[in-house]
Amino acid sequence: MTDLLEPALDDLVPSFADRQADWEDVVARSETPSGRKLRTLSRPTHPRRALALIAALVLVVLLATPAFGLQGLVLHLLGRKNVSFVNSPSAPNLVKKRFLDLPIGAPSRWATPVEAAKARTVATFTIAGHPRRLWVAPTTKGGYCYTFELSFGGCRQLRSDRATARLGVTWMGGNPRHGVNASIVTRVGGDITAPTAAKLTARYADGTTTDIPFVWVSAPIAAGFFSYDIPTVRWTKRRRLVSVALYAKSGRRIARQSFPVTFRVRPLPITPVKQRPPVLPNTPHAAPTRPFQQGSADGFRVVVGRNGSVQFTQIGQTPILRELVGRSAGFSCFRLTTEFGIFSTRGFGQGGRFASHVGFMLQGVGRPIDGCEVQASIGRTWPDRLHDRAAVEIPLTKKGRDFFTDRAAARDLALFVRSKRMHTLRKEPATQANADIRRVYGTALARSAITITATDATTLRFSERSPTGKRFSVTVHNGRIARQNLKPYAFVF
Amino acid sequence: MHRSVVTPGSGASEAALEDIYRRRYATFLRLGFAMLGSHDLAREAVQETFAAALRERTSFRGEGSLDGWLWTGMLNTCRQEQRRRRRLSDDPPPEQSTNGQPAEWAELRALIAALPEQERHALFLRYYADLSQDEIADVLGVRPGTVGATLNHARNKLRVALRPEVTR
Repeated sequence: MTDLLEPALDDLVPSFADRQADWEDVVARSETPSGRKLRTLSRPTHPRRALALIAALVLVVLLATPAFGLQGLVLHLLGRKNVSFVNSPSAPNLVKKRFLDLPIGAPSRWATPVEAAKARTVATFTIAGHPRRLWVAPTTKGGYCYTFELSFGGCRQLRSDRATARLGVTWMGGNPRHGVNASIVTRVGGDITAPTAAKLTARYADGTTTDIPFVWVSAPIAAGFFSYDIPTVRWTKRRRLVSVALYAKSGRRIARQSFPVTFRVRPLPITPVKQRPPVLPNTPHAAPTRPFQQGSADGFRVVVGRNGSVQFTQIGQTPILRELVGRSAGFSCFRLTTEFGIFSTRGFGQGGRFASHVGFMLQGVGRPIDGCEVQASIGRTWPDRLHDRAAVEIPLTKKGRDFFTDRAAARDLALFVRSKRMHTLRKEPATQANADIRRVYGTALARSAITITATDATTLRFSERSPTGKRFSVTVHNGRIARQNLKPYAFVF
Repeated sequence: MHRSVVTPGSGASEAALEDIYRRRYATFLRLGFAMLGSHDLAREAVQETFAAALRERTSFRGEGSLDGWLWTGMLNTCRQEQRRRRRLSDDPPPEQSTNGQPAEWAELRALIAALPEQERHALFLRYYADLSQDEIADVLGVRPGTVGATLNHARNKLRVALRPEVTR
């Protein structure tokens, strides 16, 4: 396992082997006086003294304010913080892309009309002790979507959804494995739609209360958001969180959410239940409408309608299709897109027991569809018995055909480089590794399209040219992946 | 690790600094990228670290290795940058591009981000700066035994993320 940690960590950070150093720039910078110079090379310092000073100042202010009549103001500042949406920085492209992908799979009348390009980073919260950003985006119908980084999120798609509940609460229960009952609330978060909201208060079983800070994001979002980790001392039956209530400035209660508690012990199942793959629908709920996109290959025909309806029909037999009977398979169609600078397949599919007729609606994928496929649930080793293809690949456009061809080449190279034996071989000195790889893989390698070059004593370059002309390569330096261009077609480590 | 020879008490020579810079530029960049999540910020941190080292080279007392002194400087430069970014709380750290595979290593990234600072720094110095246990101890100002335990602890936590990802 530890052996795999290195390549995984390696994959997270580029090698930068091709970056040019610039010593002249260093010399030029060193001649410019900088305020950072003394701290830069000091031993690691901890800002404890500064923090202690700030903490002391905060304490003095909090203690002193009743005398100056400022208590309410301070509490108010700790409660609600107003944030300007328009002045907030734009969200990263990857976040915008995730917002854009929200409607995939939802029926059109439920699809979230989110304006992904307008997504912004509006605040940073502390969740489980770590800073987590809050991203929000408006919808075209007067609503909004929000996501707390690596945590949770939600949408109120329509303007009218704002009125359904003034306080939307998501909560997390304790983990029984850590000795905390599942009905003890350990974290609460959510959104607020009441513009008059001034204070959010947590009430505990022992009668005490705490104010929960929240941000209020200006129009077009016009909503508040919060995430609050319940202190661990409150993770007991007697001191647990029992409710969260929202108050207006006048003190009027706007909304309340209580947390029911059930301390029943639920026995865990002793024998795991074997899940059978679900049965897939034979036909979509609406027939494909004109103009159709259609094609056939590998024993299947597919018809995609303008309305997003797709019908797979088996028209022939192949060895892999015979093998798939009674097993699970994935049926899907996709469109190739470059959104916010990110090239990806925007697709939708359904997985379940293999069937000769499968139909469903492609929700939120758009048109034209570039290809459809049936993925078999089989493991892959190099050389791959399906020649790095899916069980069924039906291109519907030239782009789709090229994608399938390129993916096969990239997958072939990835499977070869990431194989278990190769992980051992590539740690050898390059020339030795080159010879050993040829000896171990022999004729299979000679028959393949993969070429291997030892560029220096420690570097091996694996490459494969796709029939479309696209060249894929993986450079391995001292056994680690230094450079590669297989994404998003295939995955190598 | 190749060490540059420096006479104790004489400070560091420009040639020795340039030698380390040219040999280990990519390694310094990797550490910067791991800590700051952006190539531009990483490059800026490396350039600033060496510029400061060049300015302050006479203050290097030669008690430890010159490499260790520079790694400490690099770590502090990155920390300063992180603190500066935290102060501008609405200024998001740049997102790392995953070329359309947002789920790839997401769990591993999250677990690394969730590690305590010392574990994270020890891990980065071990894997991206390629430092030995003794050298990491020197940079972090702890005992070598502590580094070993810290690294083990961090690795154990990260195993969780690797199980489903790489055995497929």
